[in-house]
Amino acid sequence: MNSARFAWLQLRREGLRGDLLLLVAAVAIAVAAAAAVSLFTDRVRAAMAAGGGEAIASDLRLELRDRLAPDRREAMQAAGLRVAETVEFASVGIQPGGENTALVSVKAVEPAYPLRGEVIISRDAEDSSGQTIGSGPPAGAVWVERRVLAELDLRLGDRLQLGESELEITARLIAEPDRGAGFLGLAPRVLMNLADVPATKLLQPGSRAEYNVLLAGEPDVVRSWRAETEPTLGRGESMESASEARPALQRALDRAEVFLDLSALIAVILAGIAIAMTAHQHALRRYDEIALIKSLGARRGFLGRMLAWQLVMLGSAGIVLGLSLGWTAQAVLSGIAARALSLALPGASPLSLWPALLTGAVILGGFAWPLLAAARNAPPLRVLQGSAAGDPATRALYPVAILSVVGLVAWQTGDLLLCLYVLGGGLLSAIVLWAAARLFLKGLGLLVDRALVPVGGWRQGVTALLRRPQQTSLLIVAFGIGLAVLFTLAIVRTDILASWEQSIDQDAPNRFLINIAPDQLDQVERYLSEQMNRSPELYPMIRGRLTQRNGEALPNDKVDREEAGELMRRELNLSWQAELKNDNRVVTGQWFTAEDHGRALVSIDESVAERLNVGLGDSLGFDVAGETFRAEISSIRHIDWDSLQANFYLIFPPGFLDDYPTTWITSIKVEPADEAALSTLIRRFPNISTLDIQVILRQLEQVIDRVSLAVEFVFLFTLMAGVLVLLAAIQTTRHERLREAAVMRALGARASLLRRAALAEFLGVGLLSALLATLCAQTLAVVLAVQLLDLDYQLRPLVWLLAIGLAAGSIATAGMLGIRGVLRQPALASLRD
Amino acid sequence: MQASSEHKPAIQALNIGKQVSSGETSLTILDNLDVEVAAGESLAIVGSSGSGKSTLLGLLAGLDEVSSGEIRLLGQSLAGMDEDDRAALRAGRVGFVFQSFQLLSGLTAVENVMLSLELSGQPDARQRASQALESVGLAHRLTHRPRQLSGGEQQRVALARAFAIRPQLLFADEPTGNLDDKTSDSISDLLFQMNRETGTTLVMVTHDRELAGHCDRCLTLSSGRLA
Repeated sequence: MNSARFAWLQLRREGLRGDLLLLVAAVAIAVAAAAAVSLFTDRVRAAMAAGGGEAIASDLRLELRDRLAPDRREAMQAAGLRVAETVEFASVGIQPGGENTALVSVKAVEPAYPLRGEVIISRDAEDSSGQTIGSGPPAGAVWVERRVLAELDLRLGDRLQLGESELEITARLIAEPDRGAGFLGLAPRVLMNLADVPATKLLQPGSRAEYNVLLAGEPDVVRSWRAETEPTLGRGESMESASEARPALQRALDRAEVFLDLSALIAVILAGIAIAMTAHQHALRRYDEIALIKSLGARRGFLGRMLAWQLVMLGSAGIVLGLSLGWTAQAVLSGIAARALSLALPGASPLSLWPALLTGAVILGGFAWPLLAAARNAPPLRVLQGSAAGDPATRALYPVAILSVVGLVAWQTGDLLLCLYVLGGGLLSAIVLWAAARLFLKGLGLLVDRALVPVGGWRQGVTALLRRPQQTSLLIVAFGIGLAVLFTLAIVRTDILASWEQSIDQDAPNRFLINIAPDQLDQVERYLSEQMNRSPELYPMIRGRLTQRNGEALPNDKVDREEAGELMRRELNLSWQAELKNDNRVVTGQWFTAEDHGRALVSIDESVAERLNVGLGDSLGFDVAGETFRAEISSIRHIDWDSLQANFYLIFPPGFLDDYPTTWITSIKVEPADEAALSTLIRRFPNISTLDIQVILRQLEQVIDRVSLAVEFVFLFTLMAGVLVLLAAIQTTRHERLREAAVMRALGARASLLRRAALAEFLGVGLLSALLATLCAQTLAVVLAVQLLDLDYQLRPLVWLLAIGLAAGSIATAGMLGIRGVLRQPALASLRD
Repeated sequence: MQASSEHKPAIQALNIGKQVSSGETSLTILDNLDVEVAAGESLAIVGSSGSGKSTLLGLLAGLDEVSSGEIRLLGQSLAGMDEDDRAALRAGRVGFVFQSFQLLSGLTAVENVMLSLELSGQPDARQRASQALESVGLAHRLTHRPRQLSGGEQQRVALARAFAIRPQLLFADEPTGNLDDKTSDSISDLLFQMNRETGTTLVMVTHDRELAGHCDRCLTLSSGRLA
């Protein structure tokens, strides 16, 4: 008979027994977790960069300190490049004649923009699909995102005041190819024509703005032009191609993706363990049968093919089930995350399912096949000698399973070092949990030995845990890991965010006023004092770049750029102050004395010292408005950022930066009653921008909340996989448990005693894993809150008792459901074995 | 044998029968049997394979329910009792020795013996279990698990488990069936010695005519009837 047909007939005759059902379910969970994550991340990635060069709307982006000089533009065009300039800055959009104002992120572009990709706009308020267009808005017109319309109560066709100009809103902006993120990215976009900027008078010397030149052309032309021009770039100028452009959000999403992939991978590995356990059961059951078939003349090759076919049939059922479950789950995941990330996600593509398919195949091959393959070797002598002729070998499993796990981790992380970290970290956590579980079991054993556990069902349950220490520990590790991560994320989402909110002083400022020109200082101060009864401190702000450390240029390689972070990539806000602010504290060195005024000294924030690896006496080189200078580090400060006041990483003594273009900044607390007065101030000085700190904090909180929730959701799969390991463990010991139950019944145990014993056993597993998970999560939370975030963190024992109770209850319920057939075992079975 | 309890039967089975149905056909395994076992008596049930010996033992011990007739165990009728009531009746009063030993593989020797003591709620389980193992010559094997013990040793643990609770009734199902001749002799000696010492009523199923010969009385079953 054909091996596939034989395999099918056997499966059909057997029906879906417990262990086979578990195998299918475990494959389904693993595939569903992988599918949900890969579908979701592919949708996000597609939304982030709909095509290569579009991320920067060009082939090459040149970042300048100011507008592009006409001679440089001519040179670029002569080289065969297309050129489009853009300027981005934060400003306040005003409803003309109304009271509403809103922080907006302005991008002024030339008509040639974008050089790559397309802008999507809608000229109809209701139309959400929009039309693609290959240019920016014409002069006199602006395109704005829906939020601008909502916040300012404006409609298409209305006018929007920006600085001293009023521009007509001719379309609603749906998407632009090079939408960045970060501080400016959080505010809704206003796209305007570059020619309209001067009339707004928004850009003053020293104003915060990003000047970019977009370039596009034949690949060869771009490459040779870049090679020729890059060495001649001036200070503070840089170039990046589409492949190098990694905006902050993209980087964050890359990390989130690795994190989500790894979360799914934990579910996959746990499911793999369940698969291995059920496959072993299946192999054991097949072993006698295969010995018999062999004694009747079947060959090993035929039996191998039959087993492989059975695995393919069961695996396919699991994979199909998993893919459909994953498809549903990714919709939930997208729903959770998309809104917080302000992304319009494109539809899911079935092509994104292949990683999940591959995952399914790898765990079947890695965790199930070695055990089934071993069953081919059943000695025909077994028909005469029974198990004395040997049981199937399981040792073939370990190398193959370990190799599959390493392969999956390497594939998901795509980075050898990260892969090693993940494997090492995972192994270490598992070992710690395992050791803790064994320690707990030892303690329980002592209690039982000293007769401190009362005789009866509970004691039987506890001894059942002790009887199978390996299995109990495995279950505790499986549930412990899943619960620890879930608990930690839940603390971050609730407790830590709440503590952070509470730690913010109710009188703390909620608005920054930035870009105040030096000649407006007196008027602004007077206005704030007379009209709003506020007399906040104003601080000077000078834009500059950090260029050197101890006389040497800061290396421009990628790794160091990551470490020094935004410090090197962006222009920094430098300031000078005579007095140390009360939310600053000098950690090392000494604050400026009167003699220091005018000297080349700088006081830096401790995080800067750490990131640049510098200390007292080291020197830093700066470039401000094209002039360079060096200053010696004279003190290192700790800044209490929670004060929400204007603060500076780098502060110089008064008198040293006097000659550089300066704007001023302050922060004030604005009550609802003050909004009108603030609006009037902005109208009077349109170059001044206000930043609503609450809005930014809320957006940040929402992002943290949603991302944690998304990861928690993926961890539900891990818990489901944990339950499967539990059910597989019950299945593996089913025979033993049935016998135990029958003997105990014969010796006079009532059904209620067996039930209590089983309940005690599973509650034990649940309690131990939830307790360990709580300990881990709580420790992590305290470290996070106290050490990193400087928050007073309150332990919440009641909440934890509830969480432990819930988790242990759920695990116990799953266990009781899994074992219910065993509890009905009649005593008579003890005679028939 | 204790004379004082002779007139009080430990087991009375009146007119009992057992049928099992498979689909539309019904199979009679035991047919109209009357069995009475006096307290302190030892009874052997012998017969060929399939004669219904083990079924009879299961019914007499209350492990299974009769299809007809009535059984009184230690003075109480099993009629109308469910599995739980019957278990409660056995707890602490009835011991078992099985052909395949039925020791729990995850428990040590002493823990296996403790199991029956704990189930009947007796105090000092560990101490009494240790003593019971000593009395079967396994004082040095207390913490060994079943797989570390020979077949004979496993059956000694089973005997210790059975006698530790000082049962009024002991059911033995082919107690030497899985043992070689020599071990089988020593186990049967031990079984009868302990039986004498404790005055327990013994009901034993066996193929072994010699073993059956040690009992006070012998019932032979053939095709579900007494021969």
